[in-house]
Amino acid sequence: MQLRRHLLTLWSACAMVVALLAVGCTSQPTAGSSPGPAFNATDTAWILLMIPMAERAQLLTDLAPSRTADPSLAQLAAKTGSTLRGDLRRLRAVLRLSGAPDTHPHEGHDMPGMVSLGTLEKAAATNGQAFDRILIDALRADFTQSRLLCADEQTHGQADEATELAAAIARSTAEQITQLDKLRAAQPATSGDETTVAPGPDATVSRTSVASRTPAL
Amino acid sequence: MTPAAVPAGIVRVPEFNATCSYSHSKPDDPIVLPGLPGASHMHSFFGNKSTDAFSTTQSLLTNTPTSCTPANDLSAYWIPTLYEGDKAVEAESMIVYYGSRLIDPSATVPFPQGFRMIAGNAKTQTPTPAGSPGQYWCAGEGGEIGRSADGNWPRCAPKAHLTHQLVFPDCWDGKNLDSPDHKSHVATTYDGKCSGAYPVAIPNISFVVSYPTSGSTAGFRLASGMASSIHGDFFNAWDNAGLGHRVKDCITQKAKCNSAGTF
Repeated sequence: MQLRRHLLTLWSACAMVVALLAVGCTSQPTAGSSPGPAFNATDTAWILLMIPMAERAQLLTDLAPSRTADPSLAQLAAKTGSTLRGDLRRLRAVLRLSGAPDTHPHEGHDMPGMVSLGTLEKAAATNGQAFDRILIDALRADFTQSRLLCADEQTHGQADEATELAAAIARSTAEQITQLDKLRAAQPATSGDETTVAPGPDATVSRTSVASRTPAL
Repeated sequence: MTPAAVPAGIVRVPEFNATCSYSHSKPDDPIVLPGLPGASHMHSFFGNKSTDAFSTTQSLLTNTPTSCTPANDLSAYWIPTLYEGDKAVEAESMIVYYGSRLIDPSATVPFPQGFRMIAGNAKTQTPTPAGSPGQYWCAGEGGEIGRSADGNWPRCAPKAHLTHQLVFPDCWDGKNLDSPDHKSHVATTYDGKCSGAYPVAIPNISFVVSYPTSGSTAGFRLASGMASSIHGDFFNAWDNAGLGHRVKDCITQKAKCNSAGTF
């Protein structure tokens, strides 16, 4: 179909131009060098899903300092938060490189594995072991999905910048899962219902006691 | 292509249809998340039985089993899966109506193979009390007898079933098979004409989905969230001649056709 060939060629041509411009800006052209492959639809879809997932996970890890009673978990949350911030920087950079518009396809929406809005609400309203359980379970689900998505991207994505970032995130996520599982194994066994503490004077008291028990990090 | 002669007594509305049963479910979306199986909320697929994260126009055209009649419609149609509690409730049918809301339906042309679009918005999470536009309703004897506790879903009389109609845009920019948000290459007409940036009239699609349930005070949820997040995806893989005939015979002539494309 003439129309379809023209349309798809137009899209590939645009993507190619963007990739060419990107390579020109960031590397010394050598004789015989050629630009990397263009961004395909999987690359774009992967980036546009990874960004909101990382943003949501970061919202959760940001809650940890004031809510967890466990110093190792506080440390893991801090490390995860900083990894997520780095991932977000690189994801946004790759998105700019791709030239694809950010259509925010998943904004305000809970995707599989994503830390849900409900989870964030619950986490914000608890502290101590109840918070820890929420944090651990939600992060693990996020990491697991993240690893799956990065594996898919490496297999079916096209642009080197995207597939390489996927490989890097997959590696760091695998490490984080290992650390998380160690902490999870060390968690006390679940004892009855989770206690949900609404923000208020109690929360302030808990924060103070966490601060007094937490050794200097 | 000469349009078929319309016998007397045929209802004179522009319309043909694909009548589909539920095919399969996957957390896949070949339009929004191509190449990323498991990345999506759960979708219930109708039509082409091979639809998954890797589907392309070619793969749809070469995989012929479909849950729709007629057999030469190899298109993929999908919606978020409906849940009652933790149980998925699959539709008893999806009828895809192809009609026209234009003052002059004779301007309608068929979509090319590979054309795709989305209707509705998975991100919308707002209440849908009785009377909301695009709401779920009750089809059958007794109709609606109340609402769910959250007010967002109807409760139907015992013989009435939960039903939904999702209407797609009617006008196309005539150039792009898709767009980054899968919507910007099409538009809805409000004056019965296709003009401006969207000059090409395409058949107006509606998904009419019926579920074997009358609902309860517990209500439902979609894999995408609240009732307001209902959305539908259409990935065209009709046989060109089959689609072309139907547009000519049923839409441009304003004559209601059956799923075989005849009167």
